[in-house]
Amino acid sequence: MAYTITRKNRLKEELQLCHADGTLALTATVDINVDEIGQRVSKAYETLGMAQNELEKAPTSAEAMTAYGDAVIAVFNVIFGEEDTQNILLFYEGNYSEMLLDIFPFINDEIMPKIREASAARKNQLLDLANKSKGKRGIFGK
Amino acid sequence: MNIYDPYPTTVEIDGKTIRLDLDLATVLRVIDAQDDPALTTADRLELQARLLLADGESCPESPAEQAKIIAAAMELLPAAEKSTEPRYLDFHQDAALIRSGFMRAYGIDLTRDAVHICQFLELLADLPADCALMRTIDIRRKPIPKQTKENAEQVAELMKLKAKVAIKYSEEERRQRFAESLKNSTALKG
Repeated sequence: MAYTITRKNRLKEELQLCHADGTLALTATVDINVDEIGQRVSKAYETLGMAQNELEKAPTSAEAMTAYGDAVIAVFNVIFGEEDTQNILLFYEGNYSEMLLDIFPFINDEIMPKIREASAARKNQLLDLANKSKGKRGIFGK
Repeated sequence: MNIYDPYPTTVEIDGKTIRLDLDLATVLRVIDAQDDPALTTADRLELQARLLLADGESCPESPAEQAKIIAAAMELLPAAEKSTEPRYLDFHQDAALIRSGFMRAYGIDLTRDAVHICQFLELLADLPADCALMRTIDIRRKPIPKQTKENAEQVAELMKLKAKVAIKYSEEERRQRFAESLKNSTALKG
């Protein structure tokens, strides 16, 4: 069997945020290994979905608002890293909803498809390995 | 379970009998998938369900249905005791010792023979005390005695052996164990 080495599947993207007059305010960088991030992104998205549901049920609850803010930050931390997330948050002056509304299309359209693609490739690779091994294994005692 | 009952290979879900593949290799692959950093939750559930379903069984598309299959399969396994004690066995780190122990004691080649996970666990618990795996586990379990003038050499030797065979915890496990020990120490104080 051939010994295969695959280079790490690194994704680098830049997101530029501008002031109302069009001048550049900051450049946030995405630098992730898409082969190692599917699980973390998924968990962060699930937590965000639950926090959104709770906030819809109780829109004035301080607890629900804090949980929602934390969940947005968690998704951004996975994608942009902590430092750039803090800079983005400063740019939006702590307005999580506006930040999410503006930047989520970038995450969903540019970043997530590559993470999903890497996850699907890994799933298929593990299924192939299992199927190959199944065919070779005999039942003990028979 | 009666002594004459076969090992379980089916589960009943919503009134339907589903056949499973509970070979050791399959179950270990399912457990490994749980921590695979590349997999999104949707892909992990689909992978785990597909692995567990026997040939000819079709995998449902809904993640909730896939999760039911995984949960039902895990229910069939002997329950692991929840413990804050350290682990004494690691299926990856001790793979060579487990394989050689099974070959020597039972003539089973775990790289080629399909063994039901329940049978594997029963046989694992019954490996002879003098096999390398059991001796390794014994070293991990052994408490370090209080050092005196008389036993200084033996204590040093035991500590050296313990370091040599220590289980290497993953970063996630280390974090969990730290959180658990914090919780326990807080509970003790409270």
